[in-house]
Amino acid sequence: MNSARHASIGSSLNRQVAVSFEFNGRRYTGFQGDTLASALLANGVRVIARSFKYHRPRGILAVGVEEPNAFVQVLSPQPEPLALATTLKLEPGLRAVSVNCYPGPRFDIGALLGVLHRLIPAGFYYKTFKSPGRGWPVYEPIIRRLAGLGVVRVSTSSPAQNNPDNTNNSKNAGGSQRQKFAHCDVLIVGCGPTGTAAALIAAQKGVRVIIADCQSIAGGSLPGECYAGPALSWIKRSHESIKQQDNVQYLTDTQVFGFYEHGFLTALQKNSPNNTCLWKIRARQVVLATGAIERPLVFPDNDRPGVMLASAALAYLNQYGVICGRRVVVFCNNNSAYHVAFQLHDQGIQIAAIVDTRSHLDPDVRSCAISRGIVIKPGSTIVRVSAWPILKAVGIAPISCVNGKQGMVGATEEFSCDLIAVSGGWNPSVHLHSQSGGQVRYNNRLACFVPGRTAQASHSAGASNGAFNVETCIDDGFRAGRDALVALGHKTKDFELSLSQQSPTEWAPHTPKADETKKTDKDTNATTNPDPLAIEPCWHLPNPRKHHGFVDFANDVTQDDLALALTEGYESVELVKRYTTAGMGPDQGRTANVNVIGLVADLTGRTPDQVGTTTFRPPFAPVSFGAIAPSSHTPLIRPIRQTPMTGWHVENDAVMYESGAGWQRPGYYPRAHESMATTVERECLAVRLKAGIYDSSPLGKIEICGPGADDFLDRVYTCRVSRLKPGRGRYGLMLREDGRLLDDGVVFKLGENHYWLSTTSGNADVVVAWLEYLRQVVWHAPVFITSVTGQWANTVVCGPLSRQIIEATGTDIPLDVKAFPFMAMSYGNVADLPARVFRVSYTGELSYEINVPARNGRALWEALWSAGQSFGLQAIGSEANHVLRTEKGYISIGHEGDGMALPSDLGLDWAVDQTKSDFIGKRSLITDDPEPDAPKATHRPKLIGLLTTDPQQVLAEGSQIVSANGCSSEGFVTASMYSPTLGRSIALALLNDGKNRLDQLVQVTVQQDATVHRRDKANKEKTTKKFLNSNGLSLCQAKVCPPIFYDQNGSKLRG
Amino acid sequence: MADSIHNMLEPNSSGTVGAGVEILTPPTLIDLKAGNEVAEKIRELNSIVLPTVPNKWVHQASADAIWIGPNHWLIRLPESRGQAMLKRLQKLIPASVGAATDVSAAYTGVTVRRDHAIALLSQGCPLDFFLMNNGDCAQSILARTSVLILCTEKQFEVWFEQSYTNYMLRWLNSRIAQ
Repeated sequence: MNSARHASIGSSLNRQVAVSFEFNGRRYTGFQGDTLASALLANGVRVIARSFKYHRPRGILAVGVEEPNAFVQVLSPQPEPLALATTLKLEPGLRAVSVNCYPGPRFDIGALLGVLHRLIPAGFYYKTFKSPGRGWPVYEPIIRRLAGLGVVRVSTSSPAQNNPDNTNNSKNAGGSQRQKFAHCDVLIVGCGPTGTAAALIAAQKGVRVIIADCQSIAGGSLPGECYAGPALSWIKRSHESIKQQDNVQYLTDTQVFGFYEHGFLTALQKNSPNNTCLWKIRARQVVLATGAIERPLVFPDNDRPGVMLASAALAYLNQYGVICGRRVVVFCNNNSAYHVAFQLHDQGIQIAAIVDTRSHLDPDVRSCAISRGIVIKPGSTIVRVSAWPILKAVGIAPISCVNGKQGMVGATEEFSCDLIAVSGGWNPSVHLHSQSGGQVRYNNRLACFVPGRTAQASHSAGASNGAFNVETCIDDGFRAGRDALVALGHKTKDFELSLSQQSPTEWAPHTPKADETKKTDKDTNATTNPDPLAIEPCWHLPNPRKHHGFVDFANDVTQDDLALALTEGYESVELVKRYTTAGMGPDQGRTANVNVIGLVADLTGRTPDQVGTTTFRPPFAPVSFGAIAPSSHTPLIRPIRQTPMTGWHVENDAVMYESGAGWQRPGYYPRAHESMATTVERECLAVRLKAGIYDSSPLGKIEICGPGADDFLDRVYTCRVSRLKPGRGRYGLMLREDGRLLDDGVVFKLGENHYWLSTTSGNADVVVAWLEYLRQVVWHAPVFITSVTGQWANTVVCGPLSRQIIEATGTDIPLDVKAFPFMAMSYGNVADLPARVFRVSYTGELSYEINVPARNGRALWEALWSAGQSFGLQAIGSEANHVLRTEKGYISIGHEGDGMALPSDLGLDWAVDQTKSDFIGKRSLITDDPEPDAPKATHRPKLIGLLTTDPQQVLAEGSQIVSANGCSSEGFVTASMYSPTLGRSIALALLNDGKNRLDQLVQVTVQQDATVHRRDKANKEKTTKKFLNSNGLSLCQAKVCPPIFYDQNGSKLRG
Repeated sequence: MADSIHNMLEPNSSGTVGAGVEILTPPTLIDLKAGNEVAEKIRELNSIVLPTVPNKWVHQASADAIWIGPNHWLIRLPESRGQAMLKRLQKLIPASVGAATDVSAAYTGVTVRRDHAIALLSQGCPLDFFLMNNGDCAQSILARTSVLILCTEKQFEVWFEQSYTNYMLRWLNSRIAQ
């Protein structure tokens, strides 16, 4: 094709600004305002990509979002797979390559699949490659490699560059991906003549209006159409007036792609490839002025580069000045393509012929064609396309309907051409209407589906409602705008005057009267002769050479595939869709669906109405995950919670972890050149020998008071809370109704009817919600529940010297054992800060938890740290905490409390007061359920300790304990580490019937690449790797022991 | 803590920060849960009117009262008078009839000028700020975090749990920069 720019036409171009870009490694130049597609066409590039399945060369079919062929991989400025060349704005530095081809689109090794097409018909993966089964590992990687269009490439910029905190870097990275919520009274989708008319009406009443248009300039398809001057100038004037109104928000380059419940719509604004905004819009009324999409015709080799929708050929000329072909064959079944032919002809482009499947033509268009000297071939079809290496000619043959099917009735005549402009009719864009729950119905006159009953507050109008000329569209737009206002409560009589004021001067569209609101039905089948909009649907055309006739270009589905699906019994259109994948590609059937339905109807002797449509689902157009999750490279991807002492931890080189409920916690505090293992060991020994300090602010904290507090907590906890005296506490378990452990913690009585309880960090919100549910829904209990997790900073000082450290810090609370025993609490001052102190322990040592208001948290921590230095106080992180609690055999929710464990499984029967009349889970604990995992089953997993035969070997947490023959699991390791206190490895595990298996040896799996912590003779840490043995399973032996390794009688924590 | 928070909202190198966002001086916040009779008593003895209409808050000389839920309010007043009020309320409302709990340190608040609010907050909050008037309040999500939003004559106040302070200020900064 000798494509070129027209010298003067091109309404979207700024010819003053040339834009250089790169495609498939070659440099080209376009103009500002071009899309990649228009620029490539202007540069004579015809093959853009290879097709999905057969790797056939594909060019550009359409001009907008409906394009099913021209997908490209953008390399820069912002990598993006599966970008549509027809919507990708040309910008400096744009680099893109073809997809689905190697080494390039003109010669592609994958095209071999086209030769083998008989082996891979529709649904081949249900039939072939199924046996022998052992072959699948061979086929699978090949099929996976061949599948897909484009690859996701993560931006090469560093996380620092993507840091949204840094504005400069953000700009350097080239743009942003944002999200916004918006609300309006009327959302108008589309800003062609219909949308503009609706906006004029809606905006004048002062209601909040959002106009979302997928193009940069208002006008819809008009800028690409012929004879649109008066309408375009009216739209321009109207928009100048609309934009002056504060109540209107106009979103250009915004594709509305989803319509969900309760007037919620999603839209993607794409000002440039790397500058997007995902809009989440809640609208009270929606006007859908989404236009219509031209339909291709299904004829042999209809996918060859050089076959283009007629409207697209004209739009490329009018908007971008691109002459897509010098000698054009127009192939159609309706009048709209004639207008395309006339304007192309008027611009000096030769029309080789108009091939019309209809035998009886509109006299007006026929005479117009004849007056221009254009050859018309009525009652004919294209039966052959000569397109190697480029489109050269077409073979045209007359057709006639024989026995209900089209057949050739004459000789083939050849016409040379370099462009085939195709028009098979128009499909209203009913996608959003359908997504909203609305129904569609088939219109025989227009041979397309139009909106039917609505399910939400939406009003389809214009071409999307089956109105296919400008005047009708504007009328329908006024009607829809008014309907929206009426639905909002405005009176209809208010609009009469204003409507007449808004009418265009060049021509006067019909101004709807108030009582005509609902009279927009285009389904009347009235037969005015001739009907300029009527088309003769032609789903099935003769294909004498049995070449591929594509129905779905994006997924390479041919009419033969549909016939095969029907032959194999898939008659429902939904099944046809699934079996052939028609309509499932990235274009979501925008150009294919109605042809599929029409062909299925034709082949099964039904009408399209009887066949029905498939389900329209969001998104209407492809949306990148980057637009949905824009902060994925940044620290802001999810909320992170910090304690008041986080700054201190960071300043003291703590390695910070993210733990439950989004909390950031110090894992350990390495000194210079200190490994994690050495650091944890040092921190553990400090607690055992001297003292440690840690930040447990994330622990959930809840206050409960009210006249029913005693009874409420007695029912929530397994222990008897009501017997507590003020200032005393108790360890308690919360069970679910099935008796399984929900959470554990301590509960303290602060005063009469007033309690304080702690929960695990990750479960704090869960427990509050659970308690509120019990209070409000189950028991209607007279209690008041207040979460105070954020109110209090919690610092724990633990170890034999902890008491001296707090005293050295300064406190008015007597800390001696008699005055302040284990599980007591007291109010007072610590470091001159008002505090409440709890004597509880999670390390097995003497321990004090000091609560101060969060604002004082860091001050208290620093005071304790300062006072503790002379006592050898060390800060400890969650790693050391994990070791210390495991040595003591304390359980952790999430490790031992795995969601299935009962109190008795964890050796916590002592914490369950069975003498209480009731508590949540009690009935489940005492039931005689015969199920194998029932509470009373004998072989339930029980918490035990494990000591490996090799004391230096550390098991991996999660390792399985397997039976003697290695064939079945008997339990798993819940916690495992090297214990610096014991000088050997220890582990906790849940083992079937573990209580009765003390001192037995069990076999534990060792992970591939398992790290074995050892110490050499100089007591230096070293690690080795252990690999799988020959039978694929590496095992080690461990002895079952009680789960408490340290201070079994609890004398240290009570001391 | 407060200093470091204020530093986070200082203009960055691009000079774009400001945008009408300021950190509120920490007040005393009292989480109040009580029945209707107690609410009446509080009005009589402390001149605090507790709003009973959902999503409303009342600014008054004695203390601001914010509706959180049925029989649930947040009382706000300057720190200088806060502890005295807390003690009065706790005395008036023993644990048997209600709960007055100090949650002053649990929350951080920022203000956003009305003219910036929709542009800024709509980037992470689904509320329709256009419909909010002076005296309205709402509990919602901002940047995936639970927030309480109060509408005053000239600005919006956004309150969130203090553990999210660093995250939320970074988020606000990033959105202001955009």
